[in-house]
Amino acid sequence: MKKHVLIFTIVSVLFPFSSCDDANQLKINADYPADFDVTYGIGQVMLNGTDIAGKFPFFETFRLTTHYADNKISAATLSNGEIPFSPYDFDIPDGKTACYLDTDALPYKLCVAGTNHVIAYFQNGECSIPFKLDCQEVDYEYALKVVLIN
Amino acid sequence: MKRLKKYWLLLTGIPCLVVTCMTIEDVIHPGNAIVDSDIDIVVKIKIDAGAGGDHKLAFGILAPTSWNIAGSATVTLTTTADVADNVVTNEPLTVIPAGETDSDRNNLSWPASFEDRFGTSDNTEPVEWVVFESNTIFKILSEDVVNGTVNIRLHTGDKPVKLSMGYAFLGKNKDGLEGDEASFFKELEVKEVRFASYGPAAFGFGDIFSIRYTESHTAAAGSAHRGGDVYLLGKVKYEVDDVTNEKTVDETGAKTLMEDLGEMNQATSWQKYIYPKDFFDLPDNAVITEILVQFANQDKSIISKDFNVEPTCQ
Repeated sequence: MKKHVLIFTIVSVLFPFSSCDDANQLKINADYPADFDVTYGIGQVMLNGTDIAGKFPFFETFRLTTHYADNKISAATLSNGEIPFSPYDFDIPDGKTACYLDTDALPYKLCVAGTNHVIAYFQNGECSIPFKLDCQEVDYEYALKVVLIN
Repeated sequence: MKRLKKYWLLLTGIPCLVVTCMTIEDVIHPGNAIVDSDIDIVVKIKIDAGAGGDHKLAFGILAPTSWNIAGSATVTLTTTADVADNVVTNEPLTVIPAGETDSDRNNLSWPASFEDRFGTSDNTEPVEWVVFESNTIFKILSEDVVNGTVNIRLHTGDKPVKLSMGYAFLGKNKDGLEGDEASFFKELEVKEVRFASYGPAAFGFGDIFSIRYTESHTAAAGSAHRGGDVYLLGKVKYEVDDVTNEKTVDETGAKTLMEDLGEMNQATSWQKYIYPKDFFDLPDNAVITEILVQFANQDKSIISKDFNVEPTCQ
């Protein structure tokens, strides 16, 4: 019974990410370690619906790593790379930063622990970071893709 | 009950007879064009059964008077229909002679009739309806549905202009049936032979935006563009701690190389997305107040005049 409760818990936590990162589903298997990292890069940069990722090489330098402990996200490491602006209206934390996943409503929010600073959103197989720069009529969104699991 | 059903059918049928029998289904229309060049427009129309009467098609185009489209436009009609007599292929539509009048509109001339029926949108430039007609008499009383494609080629005038183009059609002299007509208006901006444009529609200097340079083929003959790559050069004014500074980018390399977008509407366009602070290598706290751009060949010879980039964010 205890085992079933554990599996249910793990599946519940990973479900939001399942279509976002199919590889994550592998982690449900008991043969895989419960502590691991998933590193994301930028797949698309949507500017009012147009993908401009390929127009700027600096987008390739962005990295977001989510650190799992006991199959739960416990921390994240952000690197803005050479991108000359930040998608956040708060300072990007240095190094590995404690995080929590807010699952109260969709999309789920990955937040910096102790704050409501949202690092990324997860919904319907999409891991994304929406943001604004200058004009409020211009919508930007990073669509993230998994580049490394270890 | 049977009688009631009959009236019910009559009631539900009336709106089709008077409102929905002629429609413009789609219009393929450029948003921009260049002075003194041809533009192609496609108007998809539908004439439904019950439109009433056998009649020619009257098709009007609202355009600047200075374009003289009565003498320069090419308008053809291609239709598909179940009834063979309603099928035409690339049939030229011809301007209705000046002496003919619209008996359904107090015998107004056809241009005046179309203006009376459809207006002239919000145009401030002098515009006119030019009304064309088919040679074919469509047998609309049949149960047939006629789907038509009107292909239009217009030649723009020699001056830049921004206006609402109009397209409308109806059955010519259809004996008083109201509602059997359809119209569509679309904004068109006719620009100089060389121009810069920017996207998205609204942006600030702190945004990523595209800068597009377009050169018409008519301008190409006298152009300083040598036919190779095009580069974006620029000058920026910015403030740091209330001190105004200037910076110039005048290199021709990967950083300034523009993407060749190819040819469209008898013009070639090149585009580059920039994030200004990165493009001009400005400090984070710089506040940009002005950007001028120009376009150059690889050897830095200038193709265009300076264009002032004006942010459009409200």
